Amino acid sequence: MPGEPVVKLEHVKKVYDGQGKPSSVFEDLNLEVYKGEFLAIFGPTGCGKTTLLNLIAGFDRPQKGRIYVKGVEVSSLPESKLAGFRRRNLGMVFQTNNLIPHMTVFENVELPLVFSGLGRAERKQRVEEALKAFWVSNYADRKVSTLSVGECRMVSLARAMVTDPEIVLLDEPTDFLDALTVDLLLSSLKGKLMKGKTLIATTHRGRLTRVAERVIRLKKRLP
Amino acid sequence: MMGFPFKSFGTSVWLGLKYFRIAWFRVKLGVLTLSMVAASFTFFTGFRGFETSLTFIPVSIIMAVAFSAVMLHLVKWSIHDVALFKALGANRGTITLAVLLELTILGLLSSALGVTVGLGFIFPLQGFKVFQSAGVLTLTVVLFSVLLGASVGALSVWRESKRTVAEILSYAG
Repeated sequence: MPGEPVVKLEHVKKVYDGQGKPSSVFEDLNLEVYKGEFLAIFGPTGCGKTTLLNLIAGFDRPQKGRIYVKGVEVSSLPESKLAGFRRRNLGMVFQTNNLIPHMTVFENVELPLVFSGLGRAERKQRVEEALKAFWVSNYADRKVSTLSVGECRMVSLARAMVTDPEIVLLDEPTDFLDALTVDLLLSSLKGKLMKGKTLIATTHRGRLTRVAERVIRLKKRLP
Repeated sequence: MMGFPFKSFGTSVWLGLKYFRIAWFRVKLGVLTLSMVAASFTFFTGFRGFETSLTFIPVSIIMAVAFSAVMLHLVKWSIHDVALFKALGANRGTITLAVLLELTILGLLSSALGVTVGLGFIFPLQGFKVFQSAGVLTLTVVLFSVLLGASVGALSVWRESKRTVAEILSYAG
């Protein structure tokens, strides 16, 4: 891959304090992800896939090492600046979607734009575009609690993409989905809306790895 | 840059008002408990001469502490939302102000309901004298309790939001 990496991890060490018994996830992790690349992180449950995404997104901090996203060291960026950085550069699809059940689909997708301080008219236009791109525009006025798992995943994708971020992180995007919805999701990840975007997706299934451009495998550390 | 604080304030207002739907169960529970506290307080202070008695002071303190405890508890329930809003790009100030607004509105509505109910209970016993006994001082204590409770809740969110998203989520379960 040519050019500078948009995501770079240098000698990252992450240890969780499991009630006085430290559990090491990464000892010395090095990784580079390039602009426009679709990277799949493959591995069994508990090997640290979500932790890796959390570190890249600045949701968590490593004990040692440095993490750069678009040249900015997120591992040392203060919390006050991280929110703005994420808003401008990152889109995140959580494993459990993390949608707000009492809000409508439209309102859920609108949230990141509200935090960006965009006006109502522009928010409306961008949310409608995002919902249309992920085939959920018919559900705009429905509460999230009334949707199926697959529909929720599409709404979650629309929310991640509504700010047009350069980097999109997807945590187990194909989990809990039927074969048809997985096909729909994978085709949307390869679609024109994602063109030029850097995608980093975790998975413990083979299907996603077949559409990714590069796959890295994480092994579970034995206690 | 000049417009930024106003935009941020607008976002907080938007979020604060949306909170009533985001956490509808929490709102219902909040209204129920806070209005019961306010109703009990109004019932006791509505008796003739109570406002000028020494007992008024500890009862007022209990009222303020009860409001703060209830609001703090309500905030603890919404800590998962705080992490999510942070993850989606909201800054600490926006989230804290939204919670402050939500709790203030919730407290004022609940107090209005509670005071009305409290007066309704004592009216058959005291008649119109109730409006002479439960007066400005009682309402001041109620208002103070609302503002104190909302501030305590918002302060808790401010402190909580200092942590990383992963820390808050693991804490919230």
